Order: sequence, then C-alpha cells, then structure tokens
Amino acid sequence: MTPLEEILEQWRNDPSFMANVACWEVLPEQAASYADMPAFLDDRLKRALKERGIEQLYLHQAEALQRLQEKENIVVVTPTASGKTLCYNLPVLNALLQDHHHRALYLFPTKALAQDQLVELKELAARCPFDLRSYVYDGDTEPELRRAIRDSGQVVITNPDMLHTGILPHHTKWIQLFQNLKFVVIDEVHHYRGVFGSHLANVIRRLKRICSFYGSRPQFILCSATIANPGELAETLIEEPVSVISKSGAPRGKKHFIIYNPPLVNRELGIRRSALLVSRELAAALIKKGIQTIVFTRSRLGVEVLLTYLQERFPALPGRPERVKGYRGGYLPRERRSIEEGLRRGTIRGVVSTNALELGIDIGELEACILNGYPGTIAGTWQQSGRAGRRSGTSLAIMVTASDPVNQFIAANPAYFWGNSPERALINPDNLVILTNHLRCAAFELPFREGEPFGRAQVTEILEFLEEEQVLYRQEGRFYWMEDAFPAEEISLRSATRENVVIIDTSGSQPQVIGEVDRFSAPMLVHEEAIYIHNGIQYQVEKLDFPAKKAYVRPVRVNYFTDAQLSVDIKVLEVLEEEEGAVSRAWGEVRLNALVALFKKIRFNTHENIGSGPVKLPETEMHTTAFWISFSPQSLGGLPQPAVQSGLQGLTNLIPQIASLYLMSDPRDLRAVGQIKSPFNEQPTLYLYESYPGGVGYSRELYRIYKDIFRSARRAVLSCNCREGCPSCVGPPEQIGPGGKEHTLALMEVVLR
Amino acid sequence: MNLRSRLDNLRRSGELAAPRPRRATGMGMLFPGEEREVETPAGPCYLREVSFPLSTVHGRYVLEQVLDSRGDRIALLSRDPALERIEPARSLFLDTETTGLAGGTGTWAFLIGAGWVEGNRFRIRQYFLRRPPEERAMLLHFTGFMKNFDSVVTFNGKAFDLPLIQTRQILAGVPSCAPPLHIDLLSCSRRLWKGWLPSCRLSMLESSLLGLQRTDDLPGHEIPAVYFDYLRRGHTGRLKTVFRHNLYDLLSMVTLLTRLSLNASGEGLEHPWECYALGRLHLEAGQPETGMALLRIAAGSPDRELRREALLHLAAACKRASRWEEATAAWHELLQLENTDPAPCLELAKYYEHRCGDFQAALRATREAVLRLQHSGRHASGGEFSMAALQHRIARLRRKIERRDKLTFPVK
Repeated sequence: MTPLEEILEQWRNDPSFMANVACWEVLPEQAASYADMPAFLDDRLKRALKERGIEQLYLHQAEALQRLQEKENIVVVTPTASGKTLCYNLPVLNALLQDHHHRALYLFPTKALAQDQLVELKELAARCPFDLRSYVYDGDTEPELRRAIRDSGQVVITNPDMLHTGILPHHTKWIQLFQNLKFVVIDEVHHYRGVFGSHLANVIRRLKRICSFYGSRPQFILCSATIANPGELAETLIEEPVSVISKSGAPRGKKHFIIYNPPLVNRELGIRRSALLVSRELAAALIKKGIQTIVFTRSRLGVEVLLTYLQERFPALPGRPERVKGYRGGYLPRERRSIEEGLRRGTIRGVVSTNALELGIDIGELEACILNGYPGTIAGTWQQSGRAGRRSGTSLAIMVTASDPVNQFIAANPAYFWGNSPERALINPDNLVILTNHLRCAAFELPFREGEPFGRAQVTEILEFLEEEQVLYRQEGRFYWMEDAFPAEEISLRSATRENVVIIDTSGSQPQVIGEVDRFSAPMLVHEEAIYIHNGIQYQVEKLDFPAKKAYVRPVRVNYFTDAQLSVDIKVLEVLEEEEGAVSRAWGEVRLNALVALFKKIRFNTHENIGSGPVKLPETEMHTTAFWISFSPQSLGGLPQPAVQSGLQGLTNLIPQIASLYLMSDPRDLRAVGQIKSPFNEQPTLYLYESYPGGVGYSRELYRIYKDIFRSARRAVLSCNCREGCPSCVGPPEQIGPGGKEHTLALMEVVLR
Repeated sequence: MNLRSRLDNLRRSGELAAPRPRRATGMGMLFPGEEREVETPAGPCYLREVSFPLSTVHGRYVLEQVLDSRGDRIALLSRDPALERIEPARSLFLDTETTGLAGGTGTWAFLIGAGWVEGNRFRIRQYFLRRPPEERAMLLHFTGFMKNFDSVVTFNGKAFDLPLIQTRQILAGVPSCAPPLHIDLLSCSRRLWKGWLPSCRLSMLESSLLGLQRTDDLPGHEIPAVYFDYLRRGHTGRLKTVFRHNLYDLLSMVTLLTRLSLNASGEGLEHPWECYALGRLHLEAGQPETGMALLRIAAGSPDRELRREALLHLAAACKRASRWEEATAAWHELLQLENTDPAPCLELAKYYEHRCGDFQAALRATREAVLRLQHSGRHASGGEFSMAALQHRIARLRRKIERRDKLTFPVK
C-alpha cells in the first residue's frame, strides 16, 4: 500500500473523520483509447512525436485533427492533462511545415499559461526539426523584440487584453500576421463568460473584420473545461458553427474525491470550524507522510496564512530549499521550473496557490490536492483537483467547504457534482454598452460602410448614435473615426462601462490601485467608513471622491463588516417575456435608481448591530435586465404581511447565491431586491437584477430555470441545521426577523407548487 | 422599446456620453491663388502651394544657408554613416498635422506639409484632407511626389510621421514606398543640446537657438479640434492658422538643419555642452583628435558636472591614444573636483603601477580609492571597483614593494 492509500484507509476507519465527510466518491481507472496517426500529418511531426514516445494519438486528439482537416472549427472539452495541447500544436505545426508563411494566433488568459505553452511548442518544433519563430507578445515583451515578432513571428502567443489594445488597433503593423492567419487558438474558453466573455466576443468580431480586410479566414480551435453548453458558448463567441469534441481518450488513474464539511461549533448561529484550520491539518497530515500535496485557497491572504503555518511545521533543511512553496501570480518561468524540479526530486513536498491557471500547464504530478473552499464553479473544481492525478496509481482530491450558503449547499447536495454539469456559461455579445464601446474600437480600426453588420449584429443605429456623439464622421456612405482619442484604452474587458470607481490604497509610500467597483454599486460598497475586503484583507474607506471616481482606503483589522442600507427603485421599461398565474414571472429591461442613506456596522459571527452612520452620496442610475417573480394574494393563502416581508428578505439573501451555481456567475453579478408592494403590479415581488448595465444573459436564463433554482434553494434551507436562520442559508435572525427560515420556506413552496 | 430609445436612455443616465449639435460643412476658398485641385486615378485631391525666395530671413538664419549643410556633419549627429553621401538641402522636408498623437489606425494625417529647394526658391506644398473619402487620392499623389527624393528631413518623423503615413497608405490601399534616407532633426537636436536646454521641443529650439518667436500661433494639442470643427461644422477660420503653423514648422526645420550642420562643423557653438556632445560623437565615429580637442574645451566649463563628465571621457580617450601626460593631468583635475568617485584614483593607480613602476604612488592612489569608496556610502558595483578587488590590488602592490625592497636592500 502506498502512503496515500494508508492514510485513506486510516481516515475511513476514523468515525470522527467520517462524521464530517459529506461525500466520498472513488473514480475508477480508465484505460486510454487510441487512434492511428492521421495520414496527412507530416512525417517530420510523426517522427518528433515518436521521439517523445507517442506512437498513436488519443481518440479525441485524432478526431480534432480530422475535423480541422475538413475545415471545421472545433471546441475540445476534455479534462485537465488529457493532451489538449496537441489538439492545436499539431495542426499548427503541420500547416507551417507545409508552408512557412502560415500564421497562428494563440490566446491564453494568464502569463503562466502563455509562457509554458511557448516552451512546449518550441520543444515539439525542435524535434521535427523545424526552426519555428514563435513568441509571447504581451505587456512584458521587450520593445526591441516587438518589431521582429510583428514582421516574422509565425505563432504569436498573447492574451485578450493585449489583442484588444496592443494588436488590433495597430493592425497595419501586423500585416504579415493578418494576411496569412490560418488558425486562432483560444484556451480555457469557459473562463470567458459573463462580462468578460461578452467583451471577448466583440474583440473576436473585430479580429474577424480585420482578417477579412487583409483577405484571410482563420479556423478556430477552442478548448474548454466541462460545462453544460460548450458548443453554444463557442458558437456565440465566434459566430460560426463549431464541432464539439468531448469524449476523452486519455487514461486516468484511480481517484478519490472527498467533500469534507467542518463540524458546527455553534449550532444556533450556524458557525462552523474554520475551513482554513481544517485544510491546514489535512495538509500537514499528508505532507508528514511524504505525500506531495497542493492546496488551493481562495485568497492571497489564505495562501500567506497556510504557507506560514506549513513552513513552520516543515522547516527548510539546512542547505536545502524550503519544503513547502507558495505560488503567487506572475511567477516567472524560471521560478515555476524550479518548483517543478523540486517536486520531481522530492525536495518540495507541498505547494500552496490561489488559482490553477497561475500554475501554467504542468508543475508535475502531485498525489494529493486540497481545495480550501469551493472554487466557485464545478469546472473550476475539476480544474484544481485535476492537479493531483497520475496516469496510473491512486490520487486524492479533498474539498473542505466554507460556511457561506453556496459552500454549504454543495456539502448538503453532493449529487450536484456528479452527473451532467448544470453549469452554463452565458454571454451577451450584444449588450448595448459593451457593443457600442467595441464599435468605437472597430471604427477606429477600419471605417464602416452604411448597412455593414458587425458580426451578427445590425449596428447602423449605433453608428448613427456615435456620429451624433461626434466620434464618427459620416460621408458618402461611410462612417470614419474622427476623434482625438484611443478608444481601446478606455475600455476594460472585465467591466461593462468606462465609469468605474478606482480603489486606492494610501497606506504605502506610494498610493496603489488595488481594485475597482462599478459606479452604480460604489455608494453601497465604498462609501466613507465602509469596510471593503480585497484578497482577504480588510480596508476601510477614508474618502470617496465620487465625481473623480476615486475611493481612498487604508488596511485595517476590525471585528465587524459594514452593510449599506440600499433603497432601490426599480422601474420596468420593457417586459421581454412573461407568464401570468398565481405566481407570475417575467424578465425584461429595467431602470434602477439606487440611494444609500445609511450604513450599519455588523459584528462578525454574532451579527450584532454595533453602530451606524449616514452616507451622503447622490442617487445612481443604471439600465439593465432583471428577472422577477410576483405572488398573487390567492397564492399566499392568508400569510400575514410581516411573514411575507421576512420571507422575501430570506429569498433576497439566498436566491442570488444559489442562482450563481447555475449561472456560473460570481455572487456579486446578481443582486436581489424584495418589494412587499411592487409599483409594477402591487404584489409582493422578488427582483433579481444583473449588476452589469445591459445585462449579460442571466435574466433570460433565470426565467427559464427558476424552478430548479428554487428547488435547490429549498434543499439548502431544509438541510441547514440552524433553527431560525443563519448566514449559511437565509440570513441571520437579526436581519430577517423571527421565524425567517420558516417564512422563506413557505414562499418557496408557493413557487414550487 | 427599440434600439434608439434604449440608446437614448443610456445617454440620459450617463452610461454613454452625450452628443453635441451638428451643423453643415463646407470649405469655401481658403487660399485664393495658392490652392488647386489635382486629379489622380482615385479622384481629385486638394493642395496649396507657396514658395519663398532663398534670400528670405527666418529668425537668425537666411534660408539660403541650408545649401551649405554637409552630409558628413549630419551623418555624425545622426550616427548614421549612410547619410554622409547626401546633400541634406536636397531632401524633402516633411511635417504632418494629425487628428491626435495616440497613433494606431484611427489617427489621420489631415495635413501633409512638404518643402524642398528648387532653383533659388524654397517651395512648400500642403496636401489637405477635405473629406475622408479623398484620402486615397491625396496619398496617391503625395506618394508619387515623394518618389522624386532620395532623403527626407523630419522632426520626430522616425517615431511618428512616417509610420503614420505608412499606416494610412496601407489602410487606403496605396502601395507604400520604401523609406528613403531619413534625417530626424529631433534626435540630432537631442544629441547636441539635451544636456543644456530644458527641452528639445521645436518651440524651445526656435526661441533659444533660431531667433524665432511665434505670434498668434496655436498650441499643438488644439490642432485636432480645429480639424474636427471644420469637418463637422464647416468652421474654416482657425484652419488657416493650422496651415500657417505647419508652414512655419517647415521653415524652422530648414534653419534648424542649417544650425545643426554649422554646429557640427564646430561653428557657432554657444555652450560648452555642445562641445562635450560633439566631442563624444567624434570619438564614437573614430575621430579621436577632433573629439579630444572638443572635450578639452568642455573641460574648461564653469559647470562642475559638465567639467567632470568631459574630463572623464577626455582622460579615457587620451589613455587610449597613449597621451599619458594629458591623461594624468585630467585625472588629477578630477581628483580636485570632488572626492567621492574612486575611478580617477584607480586609473592613476594603474598608470603608476604599469607605466611608471612607481608602486608606492600606486599604493597611495589605491588607498585613496578605498577611502572614497567607504565615504561615498555607495555600494560599489562589482568588478574592479568592489572593495574586495581594491584590497586585492593593495595586497598585490604591497608584495611588489616588499620584493623590490628586498632586492634593493638585501638582508645580510
């Protein structure tokens, strides 16, 4: 028995351990499925692969090559470490071997991935042998090198932001690339959802438009983690048909997957033992037995805390490097290689990190992986747990759940994981604000003809709008960019408007920007004296200069958080779909007016109100989409008003969290407001509105699957051990009133009837 | 609710910006007698032509003086030997006015000013983009015209104007011509005057060196708005000012070239920094005699920092030319100038040790270097300036002295 198998046996026989195990699944071994090397693969490539020990391809790799040969676009949806990289490196190198004028563009979301992929590609090319000119082109690329890359780089590796501001608006300097572009590779495509994905779809529209100008028509090779709708996401992103390749032929060793829920220490208040402490103990136990382990935490602070403890516990031996290393974003390839080396040699026993993507392709094969807290999506969970795993032999992934509603839902409903993923990645490329902003960029790049579409969108009215805004000039049927500005730099691909409030930490010698919040939410999140949490660290807002869109903060350590009392006015502008009934539902376009007049200070854990203060900020307005559900008097069957009020409050706390599980959204992407008497229809109504102006598609999806969400929410409440309510389900009793849990359940029953 | 009203809503709430009123456009006659329309395969385009007799005075210089400018002097300043064989005055002087400085494919060159010497006049032609659809015609005509010249003169054209013109050519589908030899007056100016003048902007050079003071001109950052104003609202009033600004730029470039060539020939130098800069350029170009002579002049400057730099480079050049007397004199002067730099001490130590065989003097000099290193508080970069290396040198000198003493005073 291996040390790992020993520990697992030990745990299985320990009742106090098993009492907290929410689920323990064993995924069986899977043998590889092979296919022959395609005939059209260049002999030099075949030889190179043979040298690496590859005589045959996995089924999915062969299928990918075949479809590409037939001029299709593809999206490969297979697990981590299944050899997805060959699905694009092979066709690209094959094309280059036949004609070295071809070009390819690779898009990765992180620098680590980009750099590792470069190494991988070059190694394969060198074996052919082929003198490949491939480079990473991003913010760190030396100025002297940039010209050479533009003129002669055969494979250009970059990221969406660089493509958006550094390449497309300067396309005349990239003629060689655009005239000969044969393949565009986009990895981690499921990452591009919500606002980011909506932006990327438009960046791709601009890319295709420029390719068309130079006479090329590239094929797209996309890779995605497992989600419910990879084909749909891919097709919406590139606006062309895409073939989905999802059956993995890669082999897999036996894998244990445990969901561990720390025990309750205070039943009333729903407080559990800290997940971080539990993760710490588990990590120590594994590392002590010599099992190489990786721990993923959700914040940088978590990494620091865990690392400190583990490094103290397993100090560096004299003359040798530390045995437990932390991963921070932005590590150079050199540093990553040294950690890989250490793992191979056995001198490094443990790694702590925030994010699987930061690790690059391959830091070696670890035996065990601990997830401190649910990563936020099932796809992310598999990606992180996929870091532990061998082609053969046993591996372990153990997820320690935290105490928020989403984590507790997972712990109570592990079936959510197994079976088909319910997670759908949603984007809305035609979000009006996002589309308009990218239209500026597109017009900057090339003039528009009247009537010319932008991707699948009809944009004449928007072009006319931009003409009135005096950024475009129309003459003889064309719209020209005529403005002293560089539009791409004013647009961040991760936010919807250009109007964000920037958060500045003034504590150091130099003020430093640590984040931003959108204008609409700013009065709620960064009013003066607000406690703002970033990367696990608490900051207090000292000054908010709202007109200048700057919030000045300082790190603090306090035992409370602040909660702004937001009064939101919702006006329905247009109903896009509705269904009337005892309980009616609808979704559509709304206008929100938000006013924050007051904030409260709430102590951690006990949730006592320990103070409050005024907020003097103007009302903010936003246009977006929302989903709402209303209760007719008949449906409520005489439930007294205070009960309805309390139940609505419970729903506003819980539903957005549970919904995020289905929408693959961040819980902040969706907000809820309950109105006991909605001005729209005079009925008690729950509104769920999107945080991004224009919406990114969540509202329509909520309208479709609301019942699934309410069902899961009901399960979450029923399986929660608290009596009257707690932060892990409907909210603390101080907030929702006595009997809140019961009232919330009552409303859910009404909806599900 | 249609797209239009949704856009209006967004505008009202501030999520998208607000419009300004528009009015009719039109150009009318800007420069009667000077302007004309020319035909090209892509349609007509507009240009304006003026000329000045070479006897025209522009600030301190007469335009004619540019004929004396020398290729080899300009090549020195540009650090580009390929320029040696040209007659700078026969180049095409080029300056554009654009819709912004951001570069990229959305920036237009709406005015291309070109100047050249023809006979006894300096001729200027200004191409103007009346309407964006005319760009192709304008570029076709201009590109054809530019082919008549082997070289161009610009002010910051290497980084800005020429890449911009190339971008516009690609977008308009006009075959771009291979860039001819290029004299960028800004880089030449920086090399000669960066250490002396607060900036090398054209306006600064005009007022400090060329004897020019503009009146009724407009600042560069307002130029794009003037063009947009013309395009969208048909206002031509300030447009004339932009033409005038461009014209003035071209004339200043002519006198700037004159000045640069004169200075690079050693004439009309006004400040020791120019001698220093020229001195170093000559050294780089493999002309040590001239280089050293110029550095000597700079070493006499009342400016301590300049004197120090000049002496350092002069000493190094003398050392390379084996002019030991002068080199040591320079090092001694450096020692007097300030007391934190160990470099002159080290040079002297090497000289005393290897050239004179005077180990005692070498030891004294090395010790002085150590003191300086300690007092300067600076962490010496590795190599021969590190404390370790200096100590090593001291030890070696001591051994040499001992050995020699033993030989001179043998122990009985």
